[in-house]
Amino acid sequence: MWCWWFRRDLTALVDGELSPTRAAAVRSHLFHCPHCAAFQEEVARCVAQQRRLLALVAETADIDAERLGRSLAARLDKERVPPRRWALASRLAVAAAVAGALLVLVPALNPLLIAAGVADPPPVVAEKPDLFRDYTLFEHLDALEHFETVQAVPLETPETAPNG
Amino acid sequence: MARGRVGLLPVLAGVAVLAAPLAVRLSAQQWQEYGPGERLDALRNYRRHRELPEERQRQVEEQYERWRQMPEEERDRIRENYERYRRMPPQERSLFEDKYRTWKRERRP
Repeated sequence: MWCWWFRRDLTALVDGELSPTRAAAVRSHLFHCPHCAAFQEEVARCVAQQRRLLALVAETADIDAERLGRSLAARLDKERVPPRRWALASRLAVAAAVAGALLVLVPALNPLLIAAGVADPPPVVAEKPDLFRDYTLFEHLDALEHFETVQAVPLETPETAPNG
Repeated sequence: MARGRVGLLPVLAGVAVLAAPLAVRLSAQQWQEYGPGERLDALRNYRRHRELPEERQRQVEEQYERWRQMPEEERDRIRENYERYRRMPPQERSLFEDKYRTWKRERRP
């Protein structure tokens, strides 16, 4: 059922162009699927024949091997294989993971961005920055206003503490 | 007399309209002058402020407005006291807060 998924990579496997993970997956399939294994042998034989033929052509005196190589390279560039579906899927997965990470990280990073001056503070903070910078001062304004007096208040002991 | 007061209204409205953007610009300038540490403190305090009950939020905002009306020398004195308070070790700070509660209770008519 999934043979087509592996067969399209057989030539790349023979040429050693697959990533180690993908190559291992294809080899594992070949191990379990005799049809694909037979097909793979055929592909390998064809590739070997082509290599031998190319070597013979290159050795022939009246052929400009360099020119032939260049034109082959140009032709291959022109017929570049579009990205495979699994590669596209993995790219999409990476993009989704990055987007997800950004969604999680941006709110966490927001205070740092604001502190660095890259992002704007909330309007309320922008309107009264000193209120929020010195917030503790305003929370304790009354006590700080009467600091000396408060400091002089004797410590409350269980006997002096009011009931309730 | 009444007509004079009515005549003043557009002038006052004009002053208010002109003063509002100026106040916003001054606040923005003030924010720009803060260092990253001060900005982070402000943001942390803002988050804390939002989590407080509305009544407490209002109290702190009133204290802030009262502070703004204070003369400069009084503000300097309070700022010095604030620095002393900040330098207190946690235990001493907690003691100061206990004393303040006692003092406040006794001060209440």
